Amino acid sequence: MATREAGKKMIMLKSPDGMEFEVEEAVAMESQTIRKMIEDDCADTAILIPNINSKILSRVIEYCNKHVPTTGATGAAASDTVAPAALAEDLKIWDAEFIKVNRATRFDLIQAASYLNIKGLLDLTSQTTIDTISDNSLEEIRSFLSTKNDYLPEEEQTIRRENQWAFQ
Amino acid sequence: MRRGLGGTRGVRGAGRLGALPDEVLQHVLSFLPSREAVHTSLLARRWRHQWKSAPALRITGADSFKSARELNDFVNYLIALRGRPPLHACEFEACEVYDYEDYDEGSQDDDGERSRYTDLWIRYALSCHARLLRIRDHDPNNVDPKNEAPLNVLLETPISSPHLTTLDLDGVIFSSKYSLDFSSCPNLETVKMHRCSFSIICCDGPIKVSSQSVKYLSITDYNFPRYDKKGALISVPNLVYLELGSGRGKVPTFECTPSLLAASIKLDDKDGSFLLERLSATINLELMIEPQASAAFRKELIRCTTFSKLKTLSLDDWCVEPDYSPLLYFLRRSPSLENLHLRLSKKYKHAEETDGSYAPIEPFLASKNLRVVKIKCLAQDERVPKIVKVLSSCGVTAELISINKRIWSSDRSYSDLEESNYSHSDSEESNYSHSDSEQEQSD
Repeated sequence: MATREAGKKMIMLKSPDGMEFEVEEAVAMESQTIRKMIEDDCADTAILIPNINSKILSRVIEYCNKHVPTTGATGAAASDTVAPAALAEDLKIWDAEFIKVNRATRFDLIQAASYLNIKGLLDLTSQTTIDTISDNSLEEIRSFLSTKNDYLPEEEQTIRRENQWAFQ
Repeated sequence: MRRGLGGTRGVRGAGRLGALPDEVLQHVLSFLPSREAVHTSLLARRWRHQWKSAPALRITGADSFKSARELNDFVNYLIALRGRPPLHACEFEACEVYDYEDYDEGSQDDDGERSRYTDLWIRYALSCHARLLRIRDHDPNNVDPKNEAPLNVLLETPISSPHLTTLDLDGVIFSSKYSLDFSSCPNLETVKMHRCSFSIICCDGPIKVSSQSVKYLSITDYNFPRYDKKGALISVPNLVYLELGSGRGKVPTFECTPSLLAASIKLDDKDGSFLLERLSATINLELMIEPQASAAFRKELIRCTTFSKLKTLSLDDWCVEPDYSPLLYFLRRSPSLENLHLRLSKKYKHAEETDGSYAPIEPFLASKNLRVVKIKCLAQDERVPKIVKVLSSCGVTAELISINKRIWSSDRSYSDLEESNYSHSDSEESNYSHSDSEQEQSD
């Protein structure tokens, strides 16, 4: 969690279950949605984040804290001082740990990342979801998604014919 | 569709992917290989057309296609039926498998088939505003040796797009007139070229790679041979990070790169002189050079000014073979150095070739900011005590030095044996830390 430091502007984020999170503005601005609100001056006091409970919001803030480009004493972004490959490797390992969550939490994170428009987190959660379902049968994917097959048998045949080029 | 603040307010199905808006589903879907993405049309009614709007084309896992023709048919159907919704990423992996029947009839056809539409697909991807473009061919070394070595994917049409930020090419051949002038890609920041080459050995002018916007450039395992023996000319003035690996043909020449902060250079037997002065402003530098190429570097090092910003430096055997002058030059001319990594990989039995002599031009102290010296070496590398002595002669205390000894196993991979702080390893070596105590105080 971010700590208050001299010269760093802080932003208060509120979850609908009443929890408040004080985060550095730069960290909050990892979210393009929040960035836009700050830039439009709609963020004087606290920002209420609807739909995202405190448990998920704290995970999202954890992610943003890790991924915000930190500024060194020279003013150069830390990512410049480390070879990108090494830095990317470090973040990858961190991400892999971070995303070890159950399916429901992962879907909540997708939803939060999408709503808050945090591209890195959306890509991470999406990729992890795809890694889980790739190579599974349709029935397994349906069960994973809690989706029912609502096609009539003849409709299903039509789609198979329509997309035969992909089913060879 | 625009997502405002209340955009997902009504959604109650927490923990269900199906509860997500179409746009998000399509984003998730975009990480699937395209063929699997089309298969999701059978999941349920809601999924029937989602694949068409997935913002990525991923023609990967190409071995799942039986032939180049089948892959081509698939991609052509895919792009015709999806229309032109925007794309973020586009990956094309060439087919590895050959049409064996075609091979019998005339083997030329199949190579033609493999890159028949590549240029067209690239233009399609760029017209859909793709930001990432990745084209990959298989490593011929991994292809079934029963086949003739395949021609790689051939690119004819230069790449031009205001949206492209990342270009990642692996195993691609550029046609003879191909231009790697990326001035019509003003937002291109990352270019990776691995196993790339030109189709004709002699081109009209020198091979030139140029861009005002590229910040990250990686050129490895290149093949740029030319009759006139000139290296490719690389003009990327805003480069921040450079990775350069060995290849065939001369080492490319770099025009001025004042913003370069980090570089990783790995050269085998090529003369990469005039590279060092481009690297003098880096903060992070990795220089792995095979002995055959190190002579030129040693010479150039003498001409080089200081590495005033250098904080992290990684070197391999060339800095201590046949003498310690490269190591000493770097220590002397890197006043801000904080981390030094020596990755020694030679077997200890070569150590006797090193006479251990070094001639410090005049006594000097290494950067007082130096906090970490890590030496990775093989167990029983006899050079290490000498290196420690050299380091101590310029004020690097033994407490800073940690040594990671490894066993060289038959499969040419290392396994970690031990990691020790040099000063604690045995009584003889503890002498070094004694002799260093004066320097410590001067810090």
